[in-house]
This record gives sequence, structure tokens and C-alpha cells, in this order.
Amino acid sequence: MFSDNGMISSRQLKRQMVLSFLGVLLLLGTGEAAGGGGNALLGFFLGILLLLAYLFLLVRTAEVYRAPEKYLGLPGKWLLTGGYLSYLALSGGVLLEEISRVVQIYLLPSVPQPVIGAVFLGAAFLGMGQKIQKRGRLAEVSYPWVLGIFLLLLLLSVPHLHGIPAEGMEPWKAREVSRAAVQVLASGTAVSLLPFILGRVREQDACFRVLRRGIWLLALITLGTAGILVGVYGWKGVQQLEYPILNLMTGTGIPGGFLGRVDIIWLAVLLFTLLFAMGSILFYGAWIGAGESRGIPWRRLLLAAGIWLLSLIRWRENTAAKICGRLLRDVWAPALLGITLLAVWAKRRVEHGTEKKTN
Amino acid sequence: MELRKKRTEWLTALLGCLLFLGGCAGVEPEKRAFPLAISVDVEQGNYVVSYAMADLPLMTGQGKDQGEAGETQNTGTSFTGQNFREIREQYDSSQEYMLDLGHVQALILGEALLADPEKRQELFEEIGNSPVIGRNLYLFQTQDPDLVMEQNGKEKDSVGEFLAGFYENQPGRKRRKPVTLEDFFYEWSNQGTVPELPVLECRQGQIFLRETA
Repeated sequence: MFSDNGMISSRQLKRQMVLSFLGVLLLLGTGEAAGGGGNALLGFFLGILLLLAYLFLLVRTAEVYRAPEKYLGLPGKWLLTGGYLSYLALSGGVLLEEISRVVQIYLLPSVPQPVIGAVFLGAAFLGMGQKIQKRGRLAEVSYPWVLGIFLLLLLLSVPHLHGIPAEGMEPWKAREVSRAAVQVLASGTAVSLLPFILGRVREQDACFRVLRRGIWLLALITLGTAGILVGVYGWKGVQQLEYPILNLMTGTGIPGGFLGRVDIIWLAVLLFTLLFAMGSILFYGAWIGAGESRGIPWRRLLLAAGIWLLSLIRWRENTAAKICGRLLRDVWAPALLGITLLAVWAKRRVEHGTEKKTN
Repeated sequence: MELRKKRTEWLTALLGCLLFLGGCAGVEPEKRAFPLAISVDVEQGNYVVSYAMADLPLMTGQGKDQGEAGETQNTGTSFTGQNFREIREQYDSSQEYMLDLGHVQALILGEALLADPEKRQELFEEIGNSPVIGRNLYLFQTQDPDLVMEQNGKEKDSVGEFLAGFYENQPGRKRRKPVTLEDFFYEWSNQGTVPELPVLECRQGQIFLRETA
């Protein structure tokens, strides 16, 4: 039925991106956006604009990411590979620690977090696909269901709204708005993984347009959910919740009362998107520098082991999510932005050099 | 090679399933106690917490003898303590079934508790930190929660279902909008006030809902 030519459509790429980001944004991003008040919401919107500009640069310099040795030389290739592999390991560690906490609190209180983390990683390793076409098909099929169920959750939450409270919102501050915008850009640097596989996308000219739609969709869902959280819990109420989306899930049921608690359904879909996100991390970890390889996936195994170990980090009262999250925000995100600027320079240098030879 | 890889994946998936299906990680429903209503009051500076448990054989219509081991559950359990940690410890050291608060439908607060801001604050911080209690449960207040909770398993099969039924089973009847836990937290977190809760009165073994205090 499908030709196994290792290519995917731009629509499949967009759906992979949306599924990878959706769970993380809902679990972590909506709470931050809602709790930060108007400053965070406006900052989020501005951050999305910055992210789109960044995405534009990435699509334009995709060849550099696909063939780094040609544009940056061998040292540049190692810098790129090392930078991104460490970025993926840290991101995976943060994600796994948060997921393990949530699963332990809400589903399996008697199971230790490291065990939950190991099983979750195992499921992502085995079930979320290493081959690009397999992942594309998985995203293609699951996308409408995931989106539909989350939209249903938001619709069913509407009767719980108390309205947007006039009081309690933090006063407007330009510094807070800019901080939120930079935070969105830093968190969104994960889109810089996309250029590595753009060579396997059929409609390359349409990539930026299609991915831009995906980013706007994610922004709309995040802002819409944040708005609902504020409407249900109020500005101050939402600040007191660690994972407001999970609280929203426990309070939202299906009309008719035939099921007393349906939050397990919402949670299952959320976990699926988080599994997909973890699968994406493992996929790119193997892809960068090696592509689709046959045989034992040693690189994925090593990355998975590294992610698991990083998720166990505890330093005084800080968890892996805080420690690694700070490193990602303050060190890796600027570094990845720097790599992109380097890629722009390298591409211009090579093109300029090619033009001189032609002339 | 492909076949070997697939066999490895299937074997790993099967082992993973066995780990969870074998029940190593969880407590099965028959070994859990499901309170459908909880009452909290204050007496002489101590919390008094009562759980109105669901009678699973009756509710599921299995019609099994309530005396059979593993299926008999207390229809009412009450604990007193200075704080909620003490109450949890008392439960754990005296009851054989795991307490599952995921199906509570009604929370009944004693007027003595509501009149004590410090105790009230502590209670709602405790509930706020609990991820399993549903935010759509209904809140009520009453002068003597014990009288209400005593009806569990007697005139009323389940006090929790009975109280939820006031709002869910009589949709045509004009009533004030119920106060859910979500509504409570909204007003309490954002305005610092406690919303007016519907009042329960117990007379001659009957529970009456009076919607304003």
C-alpha cells in the first residue's frame, strides 16, 4: 500500500511536530502561560513570532544540517552532532522526570519513579518508531484522534468557566513580557531538529508554510487552554496548581453521568503524546550523524540510558527537571541559536565561493 | 535478522505486560475501599473525618452475600486526629483495604469547621494537594455531620450518591447551582472568601437539602 522509499509528506512532518510538542505544552506550557497572567500570554504570542522567524532561518539553512561536514568542516560536524546529542539527552531527562512524577502521582503511587521512567522509555523505544515513514504514518493516523479528544476536553470544560476575573492579574510589565517571549523561543529551539530530516520530505518548497501552520495551531491550543484554565481557576487559583491541565481533567466529565470519572481517558491521550515526544527524541538522537541504520540501535540505546540516568539526578532539593531545564534554557538554547547563525554564515560562504568559481 | 528483531520486540512487550498484568504495581478494586461521601468536622480542636463507603456488591448488583471475605466493606468509618497525617496513619493501621478517594461525590463540612479559619485553611490545602479527589464533587454543610453519615447503608444505600442525586437526578427542578470543589477553590483562591454552601438537615432519619443557610 505504501512505497517504502523513506520519504514522507510535509503534512506528515507537520503532524509529527504537532504531536511531539502538544503533550509537553499542555502539561507544562499552559500552566506557565496562565499563571503568568497577561504578561505571560502576550509574551507567549510574541515568542511564537520569534519562533516563526527562527523556523524560517532553519528551513533556509536545512542543507547545512543535513551535510554539516561540507559547510562547517569536520570540527563543525562534531560540534553540531555533540551539541544536539547532549541537547536531546538533557531534554529527554527533563521530560522523563516530569512524566514519571505525573504517572506516579496520578496512576501508580506504589511504583518507584525510576521503574516508571524505565518502562516509559522502553515503550517509547519500541513503540514510537525508528523509521521515518513508520513515524510519519503513526502521526498521520493518530493526529485527528488526539486533537479531537483534546478539543472535546476543552469544549466540555466550557460549562465550568467562571469568566475571566478582572482582579488578581499581575500588572503589565514590559520586562515580564520579554522574559516570557524569550522563554518561548528557548523552549521552542527543539524545532531546530526538523532540518535534519527535511531532505526526506517530498514537498520541500511547502515545508515552511506547512510547519508555520503547525506552530500557529500549537499556539492557538496553548493560548486557548491557558484561557480556559484562567476562566476555571482564576489568576490566583491557577498559580497554586502544579499541573493545572491535570486538575482540569479531573473536573471535566462527559455529560450523562454514565462514567463517573473520565480523566483517565484524557490522561491516556496526554501520555500518548508524551510517548510520541520521547520517541521523537530517541529518533533524532539516532538520526543525527547516522540516519536510518540497520542492526542493533546502539546509539538509541545509549541515548535512552543517558536520558534515564539524567532523569534520576537530585541535587539538594532540585530535581532533574529544574537542573537540566535551567541548563537547557541558559546554555543550550542560546548555543542552538548560535549554531543556526553559524549555519547561515556557512551557507553564504559556500554559495559565495561557488559563485566565484563559476565566474 | 528482521524476524529476530521482531521476536525480541514482542518478547520485551510481553514481559512488560506480564509485569503490570501480574498486579505487581497495583491493588485490585476488590481490595480497595471507595468512599462516596466524606464528612469533616472539628471537635475540641481535633478533626473528625468520616468515610461513607460504597457497598460494592449492592451497587454492582452482584447479589453476593455481604459476609463473604474480600467483599465486605465498612459502610462507615470515622477517625479523629490533630491533623490529616494522623488520620491517614489511623486509617492505614486499622483498615485492610486501600483507601481510594477517586470516586468521592460529596464532601460534607461541619459548621464548627467552617467557623474555624485555621482548620478550614488546613483542610483545603490538604484537598488542594490531593491529585485524586475529583474537582466535580459537591460540597455541603451541616450542623452535625455524624447524623448525615449514619444514614449510609441504612435508609440510604449510599449517602454520596443520594446527595449527588439532588442535582443530577432532578434536572427539571429549580435549584440553586450546586457548589463543586472547583467552584469552592475558585472563590477561595481568588477572592479569599468561602462560598455559601447548601445546608443538609437530618430529621427522623431523613436527609433534607436546604439550599441557603
